[in-house]
Amino acid sequence: MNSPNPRQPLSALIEEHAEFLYRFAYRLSGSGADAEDLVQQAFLAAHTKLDQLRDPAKTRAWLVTVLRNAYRKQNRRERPLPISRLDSPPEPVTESDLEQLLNVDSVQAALNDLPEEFRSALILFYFDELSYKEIAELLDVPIGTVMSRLSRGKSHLRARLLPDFAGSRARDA
Amino acid sequence: MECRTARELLDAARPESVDREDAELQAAFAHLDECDACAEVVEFRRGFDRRVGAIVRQVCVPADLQSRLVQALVPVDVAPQASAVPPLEVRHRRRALILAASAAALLIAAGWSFYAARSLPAPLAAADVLDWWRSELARQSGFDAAALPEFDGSFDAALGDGRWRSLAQSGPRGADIDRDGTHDAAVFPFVGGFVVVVGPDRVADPPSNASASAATPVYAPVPHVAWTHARCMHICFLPGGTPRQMQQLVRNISSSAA
Repeated sequence: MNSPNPRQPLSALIEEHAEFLYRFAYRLSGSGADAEDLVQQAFLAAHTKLDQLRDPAKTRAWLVTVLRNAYRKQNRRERPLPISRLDSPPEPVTESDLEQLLNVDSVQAALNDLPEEFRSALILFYFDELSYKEIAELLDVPIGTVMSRLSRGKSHLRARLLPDFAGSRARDA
Repeated sequence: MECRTARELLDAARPESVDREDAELQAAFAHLDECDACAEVVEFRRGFDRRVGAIVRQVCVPADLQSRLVQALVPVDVAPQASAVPPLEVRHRRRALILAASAAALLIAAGWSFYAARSLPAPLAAADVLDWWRSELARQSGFDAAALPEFDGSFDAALGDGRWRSLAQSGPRGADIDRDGTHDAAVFPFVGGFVVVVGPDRVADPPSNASASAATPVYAPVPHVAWTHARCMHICFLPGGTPRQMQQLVRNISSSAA
């Protein structure tokens, strides 16, 4: 991650982070219009509050936090799947089955089921191929929390996306 | 290590990343050498992750995203600078010209300028109103337009457009933009925002658009849109509003006119 000067012009911040933020926001919200709105809000906050950022190396993490806060503010009535429902899933037998079962819509719908904090961790894991340590830094939470969210979130994805593979559950015991 | 623990740990780890430096993870990876069942499950999960990862990364970023963000957010970032003091060189040149004038003319001009400055209030631009709002916000730690004093009626501040009038929650409040103890603008509060109307004799740089729907909203540092109506400068502010809400408000206003 680069270390931009906190005083750098807004246009430079946009150039450096807009694409990453848009991709993240798109998967977080599941909508291009919402993603663009969230990105605008993140940069608006950057414009007025960037002076508060003490460590320029954390600009991206700070922008992600701002964007997530904006998302949560807009979706206060969101009713994601209760965390208690994130149980272990059955799993399929062959990898070729995955090609048939997984598509953009089903994956996005499964992500949308999850509470925001689980979704954000998973998006960063899959989308940016970050390690759980890097995700912990970006989300500003302990490593153990990220590992738990990733494990339970992925468990939910498998259960949601591969529901008909009864009998293979024994493999996940 | 138990199978369940190993699987949970490895579910969060990346085999190719620095996660391997973790002692507990190393034990989980070692478990795979001893447990065929776990090795099979973990291998399958990696295939699942590869497939899901490929799908999650399928996000098409609009080609003009950056330019649209810059267009929406950057102009106000630099706008105050555009109206800032002229460069030093220019100021020196102007000063030299003034010095070249005759003593008598200079005295007369200075006297007239002094009189004019005292008798006529300085014109106001949108940036001045924005500065006023910022200072009020800092002073009150939460600006409430409805809490401003009643407008003193120093000019005809009626919102000309009925659509904006129907939005206003109350009669005009008064704003002392230049801090000279008199009202320079009328403020019409509405839910989530307010409209500032600056009188015809006070506008320094009137917005060229005749309505909010024809103007380009600006989103930083606060969503607002400015237009000129009946020679008065109107600025609608939406503090705490999102760009989308600003766009929606303007759309609603313009569509209700249709």
